Amino acid sequence: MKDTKTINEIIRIFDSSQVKTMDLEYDGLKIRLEKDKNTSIKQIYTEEQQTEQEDPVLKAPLAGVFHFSQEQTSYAKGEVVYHIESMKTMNEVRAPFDLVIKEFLVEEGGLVEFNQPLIRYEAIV
Amino acid sequence: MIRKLCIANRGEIAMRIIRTCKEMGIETVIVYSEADRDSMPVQSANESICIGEATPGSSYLNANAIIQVAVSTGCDAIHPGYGFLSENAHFARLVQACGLKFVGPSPSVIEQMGDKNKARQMIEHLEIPIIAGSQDVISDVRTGMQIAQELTYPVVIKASQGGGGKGMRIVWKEEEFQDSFEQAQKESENYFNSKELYIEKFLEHPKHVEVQLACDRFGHVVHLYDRDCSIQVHRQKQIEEAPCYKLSEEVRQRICQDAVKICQAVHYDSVGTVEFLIDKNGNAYFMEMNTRIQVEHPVTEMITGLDLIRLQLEIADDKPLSLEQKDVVQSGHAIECRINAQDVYQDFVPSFGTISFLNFPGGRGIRVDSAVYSGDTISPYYDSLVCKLIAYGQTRQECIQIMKRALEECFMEGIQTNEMFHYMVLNDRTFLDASYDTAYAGQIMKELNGNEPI
Repeated sequence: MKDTKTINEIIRIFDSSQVKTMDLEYDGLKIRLEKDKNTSIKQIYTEEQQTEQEDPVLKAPLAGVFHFSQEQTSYAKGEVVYHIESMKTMNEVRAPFDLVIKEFLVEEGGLVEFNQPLIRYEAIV
Repeated sequence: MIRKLCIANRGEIAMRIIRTCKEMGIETVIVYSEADRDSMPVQSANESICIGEATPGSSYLNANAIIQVAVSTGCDAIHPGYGFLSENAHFARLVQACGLKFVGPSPSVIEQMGDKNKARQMIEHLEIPIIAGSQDVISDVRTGMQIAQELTYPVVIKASQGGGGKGMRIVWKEEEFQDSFEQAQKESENYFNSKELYIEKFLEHPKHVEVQLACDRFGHVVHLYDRDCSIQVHRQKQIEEAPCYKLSEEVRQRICQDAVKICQAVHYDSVGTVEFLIDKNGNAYFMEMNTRIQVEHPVTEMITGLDLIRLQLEIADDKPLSLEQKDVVQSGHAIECRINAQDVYQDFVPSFGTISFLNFPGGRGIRVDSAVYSGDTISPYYDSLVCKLIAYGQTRQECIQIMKRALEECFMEGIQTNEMFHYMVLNDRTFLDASYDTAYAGQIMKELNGNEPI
Protein backbone atom coordinates (compact mmCIF):
# COMPACT_ATOMS: atom_id res chain seq x y z
CA MET A 1 0.00 0.00 0.00
CA LYS A 2 1.42 3.29 -0.99
CA ASP A 3 2.00 5.92 1.61
CA THR A 4 -1.30 7.84 1.76
CA LYS A 5 0.52 10.73 3.34
CA THR A 6 2.68 11.06 0.22
CA ILE A 7 -0.35 10.85 -2.04
CA ASN A 8 -2.16 13.52 -0.03
CA GLU A 9 0.94 15.68 -0.25
CA ILE A 10 1.03 15.26 -4.02
CA ILE A 11 -2.64 16.19 -4.25
CA ARG A 12 -2.10 19.24 -2.06
CA ILE A 13 0.82 20.46 -4.15
CA PHE A 14 -1.11 19.89 -7.37
CA ASP A 15 -4.16 21.67 -6.03
CA SER A 16 -2.29 24.80 -5.04
CA SER A 17 -0.40 25.01 -8.33
CA GLN A 18 -1.35 26.42 -11.75
CA VAL A 19 -1.02 22.98 -13.31
CA LYS A 20 -4.28 21.69 -14.76
CA THR A 21 -3.47 18.03 -15.47
CA MET A 22 -0.74 15.76 -14.18
CA ASP A 23 0.20 12.17 -14.95
CA LEU A 24 2.56 10.77 -12.36
CA GLU A 25 4.20 7.38 -12.37
CA TYR A 26 6.66 6.19 -9.78
CA ASP A 27 7.43 3.01 -7.93
CA GLY A 28 4.66 1.16 -9.73
CA LEU A 29 2.05 3.76 -8.76
CA LYS A 30 0.18 5.62 -11.46
CA ILE A 31 -1.77 8.76 -10.61
CA ARG A 32 -3.71 11.00 -12.95
CA LEU A 33 -4.86 14.31 -11.53
CA GLU A 34 -7.13 16.72 -13.37
CA LYS A 35 -8.61 20.08 -12.44
CA ASP A 36 -12.03 21.25 -13.57
CA LYS A 37 -11.87 22.82 -17.01
CA ASN A 38 -13.26 26.34 -17.26
CA THR A 39 -16.89 26.19 -16.29
CA SER A 40 -18.90 26.93 -19.40
CA ILE A 41 -21.55 29.61 -19.34
CA LYS A 42 -24.32 27.03 -19.67
CA GLN A 43 -23.09 25.18 -16.62
CA ILE A 44 -23.11 28.33 -14.51
CA TYR A 45 -26.74 29.02 -15.25
CA THR A 46 -27.83 25.42 -14.69
CA GLU A 47 -26.16 25.42 -11.28
CA GLU A 48 -27.79 28.69 -10.31
CA GLN A 49 -31.21 27.48 -11.32
CA GLN A 50 -30.80 24.29 -9.36
CA THR A 51 -30.03 26.09 -6.10
CA GLU A 52 -33.00 28.40 -6.62
CA GLN A 53 -35.55 25.65 -7.07
CA GLU A 54 -36.22 24.62 -3.52
CA ASP A 55 -39.87 25.60 -3.81
CA PRO A 56 -41.26 25.22 -7.29
CA VAL A 57 -42.03 28.58 -8.84
CA LEU A 58 -43.47 29.81 -12.12
CA LYS A 59 -41.04 32.23 -13.72
CA ALA A 60 -41.80 35.07 -16.09
CA PRO A 61 -41.24 33.99 -19.71
CA LEU A 62 -40.77 37.61 -20.72
CA ALA A 63 -40.27 41.03 -19.17
CA GLY A 64 -43.33 43.21 -18.81
CA VAL A 65 -46.21 44.21 -16.56
CA PHE A 66 -47.79 41.47 -14.44
CA HIS A 67 -51.60 41.11 -14.37
CA PHE A 68 -53.64 38.62 -12.38
CA SER A 69 -55.95 36.51 -14.46
CA GLN A 70 -58.59 35.01 -12.21
CA GLU A 71 -59.49 34.80 -8.53
CA GLN A 72 -59.12 31.02 -8.23
CA THR A 73 -56.20 29.30 -6.49
CA SER A 74 -56.12 26.07 -8.44
CA TYR A 75 -55.68 25.76 -12.18
CA ALA A 76 -56.02 22.90 -14.59
CA LYS A 77 -53.31 22.32 -17.17
CA GLY A 78 -53.70 24.83 -19.99
CA GLU A 79 -55.73 27.39 -18.04
CA VAL A 80 -54.48 30.97 -18.09
CA VAL A 81 -52.86 31.68 -14.72
CA TYR A 82 -51.69 35.24 -15.36
CA HIS A 83 -50.85 37.78 -18.07
CA ILE A 84 -47.72 39.71 -18.87
CA GLU A 85 -48.31 42.89 -20.77
CA SER A 86 -45.66 44.20 -23.12
CA MET A 87 -46.23 47.10 -25.49
CA LYS A 88 -50.01 46.94 -25.14
CA THR A 89 -50.02 43.22 -25.96
CA MET A 90 -51.34 40.82 -23.34
CA ASN A 91 -49.35 37.61 -23.24
CA GLU A 92 -51.28 34.75 -21.69
CA VAL A 93 -49.29 32.41 -19.46
CA ARG A 94 -50.91 29.03 -18.98
CA ALA A 95 -50.51 26.35 -16.30
CA PRO A 96 -48.04 23.72 -17.55
CA PHE A 97 -49.85 21.09 -15.46
CA ASP A 98 -52.56 20.98 -12.77
CA LEU A 99 -51.44 23.18 -9.90
CA VAL A 100 -52.43 25.01 -6.75
CA ILE A 101 -51.09 28.48 -6.01
CA LYS A 102 -49.37 28.76 -2.67
CA GLU A 103 -48.12 32.32 -2.89
CA PHE A 104 -47.91 35.25 -5.28
CA LEU A 105 -44.47 36.84 -5.29
CA VAL A 106 -45.48 39.90 -7.30
CA GLU A 107 -48.15 42.55 -7.20
CA GLU A 108 -50.76 43.48 -9.75
CA GLY A 109 -49.32 45.95 -12.27
CA GLY A 110 -45.74 45.37 -11.19
CA LEU A 111 -42.89 45.32 -13.69
CA VAL A 112 -41.36 41.85 -13.85
CA GLU A 113 -38.07 40.70 -15.31
CA PHE A 114 -37.41 37.79 -17.62
CA ASN A 115 -37.23 34.60 -15.49
CA GLN A 116 -38.34 36.37 -12.35
CA PRO A 117 -40.06 34.00 -9.87
CA LEU A 118 -43.73 35.00 -9.83
CA ILE A 119 -45.82 32.27 -8.24
CA ARG A 120 -45.00 29.60 -5.72
CA TYR A 121 -47.12 26.56 -6.49
CA GLU A 122 -47.76 22.96 -5.68
CA ALA A 123 -48.37 20.53 -8.49
CA ILE A 124 -51.55 18.51 -8.18
CA VAL A 125 -50.66 14.91 -8.78
CA MET B 1 -35.71 67.09 -19.53
CA ILE B 2 -33.87 63.79 -19.45
CA ARG B 3 -33.80 62.80 -15.81
CA LYS B 4 -33.82 59.05 -16.26
CA LEU B 5 -32.20 57.16 -19.11
CA CYS B 6 -32.73 53.60 -20.24
CA ILE B 7 -29.57 52.04 -21.64
CA ALA B 8 -30.26 49.40 -24.27
CA ASN B 9 -26.77 48.02 -24.58
CA ARG B 10 -24.00 46.23 -22.73
CA GLY B 11 -20.29 46.04 -22.08
CA GLU B 12 -17.96 49.00 -22.34
CA ILE B 13 -20.37 51.37 -24.09
CA ALA B 14 -23.03 50.78 -21.44
CA MET B 15 -20.42 51.57 -18.81
CA ARG B 16 -19.39 54.65 -20.78
CA ILE B 17 -22.95 55.95 -20.87
CA ILE B 18 -23.54 55.18 -17.17
CA ARG B 19 -20.41 57.12 -16.25
CA THR B 20 -21.50 60.28 -18.03
CA CYS B 21 -25.02 59.91 -16.62
CA LYS B 22 -23.64 59.73 -13.09
CA GLU B 23 -21.62 62.88 -13.77
CA MET B 24 -24.70 64.63 -15.14
CA GLY B 25 -27.00 63.47 -12.34
CA ILE B 26 -29.11 61.36 -14.70
CA GLU B 27 -30.57 58.16 -13.23
CA THR B 28 -29.94 55.02 -15.19
CA VAL B 29 -31.95 51.91 -15.95
CA ILE B 30 -30.16 49.16 -17.82
CA VAL B 31 -31.82 46.28 -19.63
CA TYR B 32 -29.72 43.15 -19.86
CA SER B 33 -29.59 39.52 -20.88
CA GLU B 34 -29.05 36.61 -18.52
CA ALA B 35 -25.46 36.35 -19.71
CA ASP B 36 -24.74 39.86 -18.41
CA ARG B 37 -26.33 39.51 -14.98
CA ASP B 38 -23.00 39.86 -13.16
CA SER B 39 -21.54 42.47 -15.48
CA MET B 40 -20.20 45.81 -14.31
CA PRO B 41 -22.77 47.99 -16.09
CA VAL B 42 -25.64 45.97 -14.60
CA GLN B 43 -24.15 46.38 -11.15
CA SER B 44 -23.45 50.09 -11.71
CA ALA B 45 -26.80 51.31 -13.04
CA ASN B 46 -29.43 52.61 -10.61
CA GLU B 47 -31.88 49.95 -11.79
CA SER B 48 -31.40 46.85 -13.86
CA ILE B 49 -34.03 44.70 -15.52
CA CYS B 50 -33.36 41.34 -17.14
CA ILE B 51 -35.26 41.15 -20.39
CA GLY B 52 -34.23 37.86 -21.94
CA GLU B 53 -31.83 35.08 -22.63
CA ALA B 54 -28.28 35.60 -23.82
CA THR B 55 -29.04 35.55 -27.54
CA PRO B 56 -29.32 39.11 -28.86
CA GLY B 57 -32.71 38.43 -30.45
CA SER B 58 -34.13 37.63 -27.05
CA SER B 59 -32.52 40.58 -25.31
CA TYR B 60 -30.61 43.46 -26.87
CA LEU B 61 -32.62 43.32 -30.09
CA ASN B 62 -35.90 42.82 -28.23
CA ALA B 63 -37.40 46.21 -29.02
CA ASN B 64 -40.72 45.61 -27.27
CA ALA B 65 -39.15 44.50 -24.01
CA ILE B 66 -36.70 47.40 -24.05
CA ILE B 67 -39.36 50.02 -24.59
CA GLN B 68 -41.82 48.44 -22.12
CA VAL B 69 -39.16 48.47 -19.42
CA ALA B 70 -38.18 52.05 -20.23
CA VAL B 71 -41.79 53.18 -19.97
CA SER B 72 -42.55 51.18 -16.83
CA THR B 73 -39.49 52.49 -15.00
CA GLY B 74 -40.31 56.09 -15.84
CA CYS B 75 -37.44 56.76 -18.22
CA ASP B 76 -37.43 59.86 -20.39
CA ALA B 77 -35.13 58.51 -23.07
CA ILE B 78 -33.44 55.43 -24.45
CA HIS B 79 -29.76 55.29 -25.42
CA PRO B 80 -29.11 52.52 -27.95
CA GLY B 81 -25.29 52.61 -27.74
CA TYR B 82 -23.66 51.19 -30.88
CA GLY B 83 -24.54 48.04 -32.80
CA PHE B 84 -27.82 46.29 -31.88
CA LEU B 85 -30.72 48.70 -32.48
CA SER B 86 -28.69 51.90 -32.68
CA GLU B 87 -29.21 52.40 -36.43
CA ASN B 88 -32.64 50.81 -36.66
CA ALA B 89 -35.03 53.53 -37.84
CA HIS B 90 -38.08 51.44 -36.99
CA PHE B 91 -36.92 51.11 -33.40
CA ALA B 92 -36.22 54.83 -33.19
CA ARG B 93 -39.75 55.57 -34.44
CA LEU B 94 -41.28 53.15 -31.96
CA VAL B 95 -39.37 54.77 -29.09
CA GLN B 96 -40.67 58.18 -30.09
CA ALA B 97 -44.21 56.87 -30.61
CA CYS B 98 -44.16 55.70 -27.00
CA GLY B 99 -43.37 59.18 -25.78
CA LEU B 100 -39.66 58.66 -25.14
CA LYS B 101 -36.64 60.41 -26.60
CA PHE B 102 -34.28 58.39 -28.79
CA VAL B 103 -30.66 59.34 -28.18
CA GLY B 104 -29.60 59.52 -31.79
CA PRO B 105 -30.66 61.27 -34.98
CA SER B 106 -34.23 61.45 -36.29
CA PRO B 107 -35.56 58.17 -37.69
CA SER B 108 -35.87 59.65 -41.19
CA VAL B 109 -32.20 60.62 -41.15
CA ILE B 110 -31.19 57.13 -39.98
CA GLU B 111 -33.19 55.73 -42.87
CA GLN B 112 -31.76 58.09 -45.42
CA MET B 113 -28.11 57.47 -44.55
CA GLY B 114 -28.73 53.76 -44.03
CA ASP B 115 -29.66 53.26 -47.67
CA LYS B 116 -26.11 53.39 -49.08
CA ASN B 117 -27.18 53.84 -52.67
CA LYS B 118 -29.58 56.66 -51.86
CA ALA B 119 -26.93 58.24 -49.67
CA ARG B 120 -24.35 58.13 -52.46
CA GLN B 121 -26.72 59.78 -54.91
CA MET B 122 -27.56 62.49 -52.44
CA ILE B 123 -23.88 63.11 -51.66
CA GLU B 124 -23.16 63.30 -55.36
CA HIS B 125 -25.73 66.03 -55.74
CA LEU B 126 -23.85 67.98 -53.12
CA GLU B 127 -20.81 67.78 -55.39
CA ILE B 128 -18.84 65.85 -52.82
CA PRO B 129 -16.66 63.12 -54.32
CA ILE B 130 -18.00 59.59 -53.87
CA ILE B 131 -16.20 56.42 -54.85
CA ALA B 132 -17.12 56.85 -58.41
CA GLY B 133 -18.92 54.29 -60.44
CA SER B 134 -21.14 53.93 -63.44
CA GLN B 135 -24.80 54.72 -62.89
CA ASP B 136 -26.25 52.05 -65.14
CA VAL B 137 -24.98 48.69 -66.27
CA ILE B 138 -22.76 48.56 -69.37
CA SER B 139 -22.74 46.00 -72.16
CA ASP B 140 -20.47 47.52 -74.81
CA VAL B 141 -16.82 48.43 -74.83
CA ARG B 142 -17.22 51.96 -76.17
CA THR B 143 -19.52 53.06 -73.34
CA GLY B 144 -17.30 51.29 -70.87
CA MET B 145 -14.18 53.01 -72.11
CA GLN B 146 -15.85 56.37 -71.99
CA ILE B 147 -16.89 55.84 -68.41
CA ALA B 148 -13.43 54.56 -67.50
CA GLN B 149 -11.90 57.69 -68.95
CA GLU B 150 -14.25 59.78 -66.88
CA LEU B 151 -13.40 57.81 -63.78
CA THR B 152 -9.66 57.89 -64.55
CA TYR B 153 -7.46 54.85 -64.22
CA PRO B 154 -7.05 52.52 -62.47
CA VAL B 155 -10.61 51.27 -62.63
CA VAL B 156 -12.17 48.00 -61.79
CA ILE B 157 -14.61 46.30 -64.14
CA LYS B 158 -17.12 44.16 -62.33
CA ALA B 159 -19.80 41.74 -63.43
CA SER B 160 -23.15 43.15 -62.50
CA GLN B 161 -24.43 39.71 -61.54
CA GLY B 162 -21.04 38.61 -60.30
CA GLY B 163 -19.16 37.54 -57.25
CA GLY B 164 -16.14 35.64 -56.03
CA GLY B 165 -13.75 37.70 -58.12
CA LYS B 166 -15.15 36.31 -61.36
CA GLY B 167 -15.86 38.76 -64.12
CA MET B 168 -13.68 41.27 -62.37
CA ARG B 169 -10.69 43.02 -63.89
CA ILE B 170 -8.53 45.82 -62.60
CA VAL B 171 -7.48 48.05 -65.46
CA TRP B 172 -4.42 50.24 -64.98
CA LYS B 173 -4.35 52.08 -68.27
CA GLU B 174 -6.53 52.82 -71.29
CA GLU B 175 -4.55 50.56 -73.64
CA GLU B 176 -5.56 47.56 -71.57
CA PHE B 177 -9.23 48.45 -71.30
CA GLN B 178 -10.66 46.72 -74.35
CA ASP B 179 -9.01 43.35 -73.65
CA SER B 180 -9.97 43.46 -69.99
CA PHE B 181 -13.54 44.41 -70.81
CA GLU B 182 -13.94 41.56 -73.27
CA GLN B 183 -12.39 39.05 -70.89
CA ALA B 184 -14.59 40.21 -68.04
CA GLN B 185 -17.64 40.01 -70.22
CA LYS B 186 -16.81 36.49 -71.42
CA GLU B 187 -16.25 35.35 -67.86
CA SER B 188 -19.47 36.98 -66.77
CA GLU B 189 -21.33 35.16 -69.53
CA ASN B 190 -19.77 31.82 -68.58
CA TYR B 191 -20.33 32.10 -64.88
CA PHE B 192 -23.41 34.29 -64.53
CA ASN B 193 -25.12 34.07 -67.88
CA SER B 194 -24.98 37.83 -68.26
CA LYS B 195 -23.08 40.35 -70.33
CA GLU B 196 -23.80 43.19 -67.95
CA LEU B 197 -20.86 44.90 -66.32
CA TYR B 198 -20.31 48.05 -64.34
CA ILE B 199 -17.21 50.08 -63.59
CA GLU B 200 -15.85 51.57 -60.43
CA LYS B 201 -12.83 53.64 -59.62
CA PHE B 202 -10.22 51.38 -58.07
CA LEU B 203 -8.72 52.74 -54.88
CA GLU B 204 -5.35 51.21 -54.17
CA HIS B 205 -4.70 50.79 -50.48
CA PRO B 206 -6.51 53.86 -49.28
CA LYS B 207 -6.46 55.36 -45.84
CA HIS B 208 -9.72 55.22 -43.94
CA VAL B 209 -10.21 58.64 -42.39
CA GLU B 210 -13.39 59.73 -40.68
CA VAL B 211 -14.78 63.01 -39.39
CA GLN B 212 -16.65 63.25 -36.10
CA LEU B 213 -19.54 65.70 -35.89
CA ALA B 214 -22.02 67.02 -33.37
CA CYS B 215 -25.26 68.57 -34.63
CA ASP B 216 -28.18 69.87 -32.62
CA ARG B 217 -31.88 69.95 -33.45
CA PHE B 218 -31.64 73.60 -34.45
CA GLY B 219 -29.43 73.18 -37.50
CA HIS B 220 -26.18 73.98 -35.74
CA VAL B 221 -23.39 71.69 -37.02
CA VAL B 222 -19.89 71.45 -35.59
CA HIS B 223 -17.15 69.10 -36.75
CA LEU B 224 -14.72 67.64 -34.24
CA TYR B 225 -11.99 66.85 -36.73
CA ASP B 226 -10.61 63.57 -37.98
CA ARG B 227 -9.60 60.07 -36.99
CA ASP B 228 -7.38 57.60 -38.82
CA CYS B 229 -8.94 54.14 -38.68
CA SER B 230 -6.90 52.39 -41.38
CA ILE B 231 -5.68 49.53 -39.21
CA GLN B 232 -8.35 46.88 -39.72
CA VAL B 233 -8.36 43.10 -39.48
CA HIS B 234 -11.27 41.36 -41.23
CA ARG B 235 -12.92 44.77 -41.74
CA GLN B 236 -12.82 45.34 -37.98
CA LYS B 237 -10.93 48.38 -36.67
CA GLN B 238 -8.11 47.51 -34.28
CA ILE B 239 -6.23 50.77 -33.73
CA GLU B 240 -7.47 54.32 -34.21
CA GLU B 241 -5.70 57.65 -33.96
CA ALA B 242 -6.66 61.28 -33.68
CA PRO B 243 -5.71 63.29 -35.58
CA CYS B 244 -4.74 61.51 -38.81
CA TYR B 245 -1.06 62.26 -38.72
CA LYS B 246 -0.21 62.30 -42.42
CA LEU B 247 -3.26 64.32 -43.49
CA SER B 248 -2.40 67.66 -45.07
CA GLU B 249 -4.18 70.64 -43.64
CA GLU B 250 -5.79 71.22 -47.01
CA VAL B 251 -7.35 67.75 -47.18
CA ARG B 252 -8.34 67.95 -43.53
CA GLN B 253 -10.24 71.16 -44.05
CA ARG B 254 -11.84 69.79 -47.20
CA ILE B 255 -13.19 66.60 -45.65
CA CYS B 256 -14.31 68.41 -42.51
CA GLN B 257 -16.19 70.95 -44.58
CA ASP B 258 -17.69 68.23 -46.76
CA ALA B 259 -18.83 66.35 -43.67
CA VAL B 260 -20.47 69.52 -42.35
CA LYS B 261 -22.15 70.04 -45.71
CA ILE B 262 -23.57 66.52 -45.61
CA CYS B 263 -24.95 66.94 -42.09
CA GLN B 264 -26.54 70.24 -43.01
CA ALA B 265 -28.11 68.77 -46.14
CA VAL B 266 -29.80 65.91 -44.28
CA HIS B 267 -30.55 68.00 -41.19
CA TYR B 268 -28.52 65.63 -39.07
CA ASP B 269 -29.38 66.10 -35.43
CA SER B 270 -27.11 64.09 -33.16
CA VAL B 271 -23.53 62.92 -32.86
CA GLY B 272 -22.31 61.09 -35.97
CA THR B 273 -19.37 60.23 -38.21
CA VAL B 274 -18.73 60.64 -41.92
CA GLU B 275 -16.25 58.13 -43.36
CA PHE B 276 -13.92 58.83 -46.26
CA LEU B 277 -11.39 56.81 -48.21
CA ILE B 278 -8.31 58.79 -49.18
CA ASP B 279 -6.13 57.58 -52.02
CA LYS B 280 -2.39 57.98 -52.47
CA ASN B 281 -2.84 61.33 -54.18
CA GLY B 282 -4.80 62.82 -51.33
CA ASN B 283 -8.16 62.56 -53.08
CA ALA B 284 -10.91 61.93 -50.55
CA TYR B 285 -14.08 60.03 -51.39
CA PHE B 286 -17.21 59.74 -49.30
CA MET B 287 -17.77 56.18 -48.22
CA GLU B 288 -20.64 56.20 -45.74
CA MET B 289 -22.08 57.87 -42.68
CA ASN B 290 -22.47 56.25 -39.25
CA THR B 291 -25.49 57.66 -37.49
CA ARG B 292 -24.49 56.60 -33.97
CA ILE B 293 -21.78 56.98 -31.35
CA GLN B 294 -18.78 54.89 -32.38
CA VAL B 295 -16.40 52.63 -30.51
CA GLU B 296 -13.41 54.88 -31.23
CA HIS B 297 -14.98 58.12 -30.01
CA PRO B 298 -12.53 58.42 -27.05
CA VAL B 299 -9.59 59.47 -29.23
CA THR B 300 -11.58 62.49 -30.39
CA GLU B 301 -12.52 63.21 -26.79
CA MET B 302 -8.89 63.17 -25.71
CA ILE B 303 -7.68 65.70 -28.26
CA THR B 304 -10.68 68.03 -28.02
CA GLY B 305 -11.39 67.73 -24.32
CA LEU B 306 -15.07 67.01 -25.00
CA ASP B 307 -17.51 64.42 -23.64
CA LEU B 308 -19.33 63.10 -26.70
CA ILE B 309 -21.90 61.16 -24.70
CA ARG B 310 -22.76 64.32 -22.79
CA LEU B 311 -23.14 66.19 -26.09
CA GLN B 312 -25.34 63.39 -27.40
CA LEU B 313 -27.60 63.55 -24.36
CA GLU B 314 -27.85 67.34 -24.45
CA ILE B 315 -28.77 67.26 -28.13
CA ALA B 316 -31.40 64.58 -27.47
CA ASP B 317 -32.73 66.81 -24.72
CA ASP B 318 -33.46 69.49 -27.32
CA LYS B 319 -30.72 71.75 -26.05
CA PRO B 320 -28.85 73.92 -28.55
CA LEU B 321 -25.16 73.14 -28.94
CA SER B 322 -23.19 75.57 -26.81
CA LEU B 323 -20.13 74.64 -28.83
CA GLU B 324 -18.91 76.88 -31.65
CA GLN B 325 -16.58 75.66 -34.38
CA LYS B 326 -13.92 78.13 -33.29
CA ASP B 327 -13.98 76.58 -29.81
CA VAL B 328 -12.98 73.17 -31.13
CA VAL B 329 -9.23 72.75 -31.12
CA GLN B 330 -7.17 69.65 -31.79
CA SER B 331 -4.54 69.47 -29.08
CA GLY B 332 -2.04 66.67 -28.72
CA HIS B 333 -2.39 63.16 -30.07
CA ALA B 334 -4.40 60.12 -29.03
CA ILE B 335 -4.29 56.45 -29.95
CA GLU B 336 -6.75 53.72 -29.08
CA CYS B 337 -5.90 50.02 -29.07
CA ARG B 338 -8.89 47.72 -28.94
CA ILE B 339 -8.02 44.77 -26.73
CA ASN B 340 -10.19 41.90 -27.98
CA ALA B 341 -10.52 38.32 -26.85
CA GLN B 342 -8.96 37.06 -30.07
CA ASP B 343 -6.23 34.55 -30.82
CA VAL B 344 -3.83 36.36 -33.13
CA TYR B 345 -2.13 33.12 -34.13
CA GLN B 346 -5.44 31.59 -35.23
CA ASP B 347 -6.47 34.32 -37.65
CA PHE B 348 -7.99 36.40 -34.84
CA VAL B 349 -10.62 33.79 -34.00
CA PRO B 350 -12.60 34.84 -30.90
CA SER B 351 -11.42 33.33 -27.65
CA PHE B 352 -14.09 33.20 -24.96
CA GLY B 353 -13.75 32.32 -21.32
CA THR B 354 -13.23 33.61 -17.82
CA ILE B 355 -10.60 36.23 -17.11
CA SER B 356 -8.83 34.62 -14.18
CA PHE B 357 -6.48 37.53 -13.63
CA LEU B 358 -6.53 41.05 -14.95
CA ASN B 359 -4.27 44.08 -14.67
CA PHE B 360 -5.06 47.33 -16.39
CA PRO B 361 -2.33 49.87 -17.09
CA GLY B 362 -2.33 53.28 -15.50
CA GLY B 363 -0.30 56.39 -15.10
CA ARG B 364 0.00 59.63 -16.98
CA GLY B 365 -1.71 59.73 -20.34
CA ILE B 366 -3.65 56.49 -20.01
CA ARG B 367 -7.41 56.05 -20.17
CA VAL B 368 -9.04 52.62 -20.00
CA ASP B 369 -12.63 52.22 -21.21
CA SER B 370 -13.79 48.82 -20.12
CA ALA B 371 -16.49 46.90 -18.33
CA VAL B 372 -14.59 43.81 -17.28
CA TYR B 373 -13.06 42.85 -13.97
CA SER B 374 -10.92 40.01 -12.69
CA GLY B 375 -13.12 36.91 -12.69
CA ASP B 376 -15.50 38.28 -15.31
CA THR B 377 -16.52 36.20 -18.30
CA ILE B 378 -16.27 37.00 -21.99
CA SER B 379 -19.22 35.12 -23.46
CA PRO B 380 -19.64 33.91 -27.03
CA TYR B 381 -22.91 35.73 -27.68
CA TYR B 382 -21.51 39.18 -28.29
CA ASP B 383 -18.44 40.89 -29.68
CA SER B 384 -14.99 40.11 -28.35
CA LEU B 385 -14.07 43.58 -27.13
CA VAL B 386 -12.54 43.37 -23.67
CA CYS B 387 -11.30 46.90 -23.21
CA LYS B 388 -10.15 50.00 -25.03
CA LEU B 389 -6.71 51.28 -24.15
CA ILE B 390 -6.39 54.95 -24.96
CA ALA B 391 -3.13 56.84 -24.77
CA TYR B 392 -2.77 60.60 -24.97
CA GLY B 393 0.38 62.66 -25.42
CA GLN B 394 1.46 66.12 -26.37
CA THR B 395 2.93 64.71 -29.57
CA ARG B 396 2.33 61.53 -31.54
CA GLN B 397 5.74 60.26 -30.54
CA GLU B 398 5.01 60.72 -26.85
CA CYS B 399 1.62 59.09 -27.30
CA ILE B 400 3.23 56.02 -28.88
CA GLN B 401 5.77 55.79 -26.04
CA ILE B 402 2.96 55.88 -23.50
CA MET B 403 0.91 53.24 -25.34
CA LYS B 404 3.89 50.89 -25.66
CA ARG B 405 4.60 51.25 -21.97
CA ALA B 406 0.92 50.65 -21.18
CA LEU B 407 0.72 47.51 -23.30
CA GLU B 408 3.52 46.05 -21.22
CA GLU B 409 1.55 46.67 -18.03
CA CYS B 410 -1.70 45.30 -19.39
CA PHE B 411 -2.23 41.60 -18.92
CA MET B 412 -5.06 39.15 -18.80
CA GLU B 413 -5.06 35.47 -18.05
CA GLY B 414 -7.76 33.00 -18.95
CA ILE B 415 -8.40 34.28 -22.45
CA GLN B 416 -6.32 34.95 -25.54
CA THR B 417 -6.06 38.59 -26.52
CA ASN B 418 -4.77 40.51 -29.51
CA GLU B 419 -2.18 42.37 -27.42
CA MET B 420 0.70 40.90 -29.40
CA PHE B 421 -0.75 42.42 -32.58
CA HIS B 422 -0.83 45.86 -30.97
CA TYR B 423 2.65 45.44 -29.64
CA MET B 424 3.99 44.53 -33.08
CA VAL B 425 2.27 47.44 -34.77
CA LEU B 426 3.38 49.96 -32.15
CA ASN B 427 6.99 48.91 -32.73
CA ASP B 428 6.80 48.80 -36.50
CA ARG B 429 8.33 51.40 -38.79
CA THR B 430 5.30 51.72 -41.06
CA PHE B 431 3.16 52.58 -38.07
CA LEU B 432 5.76 54.88 -36.58
CA ASP B 433 6.01 56.98 -39.71
CA ALA B 434 2.22 56.86 -40.09
CA SER B 435 2.46 55.72 -43.70
CA TYR B 436 0.16 52.72 -43.13
CA ASP B 437 -2.97 52.11 -45.18
CA THR B 438 -5.85 49.64 -45.04
CA ALA B 439 -3.68 46.81 -46.36
CA TYR B 440 -1.15 47.19 -43.56
CA ALA B 441 -2.81 45.12 -40.85
CA GLY B 442 -2.98 42.15 -43.22
CA GLN B 443 0.79 42.33 -43.68
CA ILE B 444 1.35 42.35 -39.92
CA MET B 445 -0.92 39.33 -39.58
CA LYS B 446 1.14 37.45 -42.16
CA GLU B 447 4.25 38.19 -40.12
CA LEU B 448 2.59 37.11 -36.89
CA ASN B 449 1.43 33.81 -38.34
CA GLY B 450 4.77 33.20 -39.99
CA ASN B 451 6.55 33.11 -36.68
CA GLU B 452 6.42 30.85 -33.65
CA PRO B 453 4.17 32.13 -30.85
CA ILE B 454 6.19 33.63 -28.01
